[in-house]
Amino acid sequence: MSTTYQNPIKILSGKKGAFHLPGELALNDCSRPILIIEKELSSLKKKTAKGLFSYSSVNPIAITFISRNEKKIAQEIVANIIALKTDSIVFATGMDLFASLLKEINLALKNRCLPKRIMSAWLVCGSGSLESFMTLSSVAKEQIEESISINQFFSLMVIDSITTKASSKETTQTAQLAYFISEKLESSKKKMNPVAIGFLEAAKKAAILSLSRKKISTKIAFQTALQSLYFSLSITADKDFQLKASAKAEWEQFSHNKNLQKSVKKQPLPFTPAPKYYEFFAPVKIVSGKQVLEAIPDELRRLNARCPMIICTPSVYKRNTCDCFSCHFGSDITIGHIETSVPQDSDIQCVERLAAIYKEKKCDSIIAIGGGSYLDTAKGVNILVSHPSGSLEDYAGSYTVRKKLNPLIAVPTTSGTGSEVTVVSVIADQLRSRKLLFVSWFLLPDVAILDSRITLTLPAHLTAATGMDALCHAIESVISTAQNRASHDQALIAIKKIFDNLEKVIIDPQNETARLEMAVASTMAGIAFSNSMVGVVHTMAHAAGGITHIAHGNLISIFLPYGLEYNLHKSAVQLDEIFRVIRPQLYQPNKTTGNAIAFIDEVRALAKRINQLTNGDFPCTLQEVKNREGKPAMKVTQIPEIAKAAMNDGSIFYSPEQLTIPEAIEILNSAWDGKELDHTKLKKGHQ
Amino acid sequence: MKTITYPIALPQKRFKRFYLSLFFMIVRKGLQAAYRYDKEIQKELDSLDKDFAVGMTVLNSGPSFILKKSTGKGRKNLSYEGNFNRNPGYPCNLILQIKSIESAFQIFTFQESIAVGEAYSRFIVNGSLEEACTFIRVLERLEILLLPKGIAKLAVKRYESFKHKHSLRFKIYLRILFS
Repeated sequence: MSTTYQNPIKILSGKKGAFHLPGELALNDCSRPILIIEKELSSLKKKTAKGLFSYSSVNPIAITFISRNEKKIAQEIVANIIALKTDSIVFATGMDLFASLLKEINLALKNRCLPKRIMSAWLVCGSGSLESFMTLSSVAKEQIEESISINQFFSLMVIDSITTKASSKETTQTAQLAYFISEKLESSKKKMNPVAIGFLEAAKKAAILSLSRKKISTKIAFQTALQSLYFSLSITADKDFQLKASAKAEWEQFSHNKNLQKSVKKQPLPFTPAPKYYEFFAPVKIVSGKQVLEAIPDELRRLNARCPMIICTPSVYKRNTCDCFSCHFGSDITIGHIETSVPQDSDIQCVERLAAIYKEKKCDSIIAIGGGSYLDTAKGVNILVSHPSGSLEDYAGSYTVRKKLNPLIAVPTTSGTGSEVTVVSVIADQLRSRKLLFVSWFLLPDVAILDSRITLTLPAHLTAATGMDALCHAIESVISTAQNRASHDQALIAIKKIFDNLEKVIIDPQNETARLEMAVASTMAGIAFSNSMVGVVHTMAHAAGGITHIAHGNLISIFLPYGLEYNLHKSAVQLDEIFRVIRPQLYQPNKTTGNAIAFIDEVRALAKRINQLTNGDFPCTLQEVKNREGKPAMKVTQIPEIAKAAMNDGSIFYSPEQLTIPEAIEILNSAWDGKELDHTKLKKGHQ
Repeated sequence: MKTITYPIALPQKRFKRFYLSLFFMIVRKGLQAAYRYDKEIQKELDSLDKDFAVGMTVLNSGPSFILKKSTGKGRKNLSYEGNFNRNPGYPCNLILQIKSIESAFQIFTFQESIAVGEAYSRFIVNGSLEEACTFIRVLERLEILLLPKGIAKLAVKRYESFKHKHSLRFKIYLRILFS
């Protein structure tokens, strides 16, 4: 049984978010947008919509004012799009008008009246009805089924406090609608992909938060309600699910029944406050379940790929794992090349060699089966083969890759890196002793396949290390300064799954159900940290790993409790919420710090139990870590050097508490012999 | 339906632009002065390349500057290499771009600290992470040096006072005024 999930829309939500819109268009190489403004909007909103493009690199080539009462305007708009040769449309409209226009334009796209590569952004101005929501979700579903994804159509949704000013009545109605939709979808949870369930949780919590409106302003409540509508929308993008026609009558009943509405307010509120601004984007199609490798041929056909290059680990090749899907290729798909020799750290020479083979064998897509380095190598090869010229170095850095790359299907063989859903690729340049960092949405694979069979043979110590890495991704994304409500709930579910299944897979490696849960948790944690970033634990682990070459997962596991202790005074609320999720029976209401400390103890206890289960192969302190020769992998004299290196890691910015060299030394000293952090030696920031 | 085509008159944001231009000038001159007088900032910038050049700009066509390390007359010096927007091809080791004039206004009116701005994706950073981390630490130190405690607390994650802060501040302000 398999479940799928895909949501190609990027959300920009919160204070001054709308002003990022021209930049987003520029990053997608859109230079000729047309701006469609609803006539009924207030003059302030109209001015704001135009003002977005002041001092921006992208200027609208036309502004069209339309009324929500005008009929058959879509045809005129389509004619305008063709006449003006536009490459993007920005809608500054309410939900009803947007939904009806989108439906018509989508129809024109399907009938090939328009070129398929048109980016569409919706600047949300006001609330909408159940009908418009259902129209939007059906359009989204059509888009996905026709594999129109990133950089193509309906790619951006902007909920900004400037344009979404709403009355109290509108806010309440939108929040009620959002709550109603998330409640209706709840009954279909069993059919849903776990990632969709994460969004459903987020939608419901956001709706309850905005309906209760105890601490937040009307403006934020309205935004939250709209966000929850969006999350629900993304769930309905799941192919197997849609709102039933009877929903309309039930909605009428719900919106007029005050008792039902009052019962919503009694539900427990989420603890963690919504951030003032966030961006969220997770467009990878996720196919998870048992025996889902067999879905690869269909996915290749959907992506119009006929000659894939397979990059896989030697063990995958030896076990004939590729036969699971290649036997279903038929006459229309042929394997271009199978490559098994990829170095432990993705390497620039290897990427160039594979790109040359790809071109020589006339491949048109890549299937990457392996851990983080294999997926990173595949992303690197995809950059080179999708651009007619240039070296890999030309595309290093942030958002230098700005075009849709060739199809890439990722099949992770470890449950930890989350590389199948992250926008980053790290490739080593051994000749110059440096690492090249590539960051772009276009690096994201088209499909991530999570098959329960693929991780069955992973050794216990690697299972433990990668599992703890995934746990850290999830926890750090919750406490990060860039945390947001969408990634927050993905992370909470991932943490619960890891606590429930990590020990099971170490004790019984052949437990397919637990293996699948771990794979899904790792992907959900990947989605969470890709949007919320990681903090001080990764800062320390990157620095220590760079100097001592200790495995990343082991370092993460050692530093995790210390990183949480270090940030305890600033993240107690978040840790409290996590503790409520993983140990509801031990949770004590109104004892935030106590619960947070109890959670840190749980993390320590988990690491110790894993240490015993792996017969000490999985270390708990830095001095226990051994290298391949069985000698200590790190010396205590290396501590100052590691602390200094930690100051230059990018993740340091996302830690709630500032990290300085003396504090990094204190963390390293404590992690060396496994003692608790001495809080008297640590300073506390004010923000 | 009414369609207006190019040229389209877009709202002007003269006050925000003026404020940011002034602030960028103070930051630029402040950096030059602080590199001369503050040992902590000297230590940070000395750890970077000998010919390190940094470009800072507000997208698009907002205020900007390029500063380059140089050693003239035996003194530590950050030379002003002109407006980044007019020399987009200048070989900078690090380019720090703020995504929009509104985002820059949020950060430089201290409604958001630099760390929060980074968390809210207000920046695009091109260059090595190491250099970016160092430069942002320098900017935070400069804000502590230039701003009164109450405002500086809004701009940085952790406010740490240090010895001779007032005399250093006096020197830097004098240099900003008379350079």
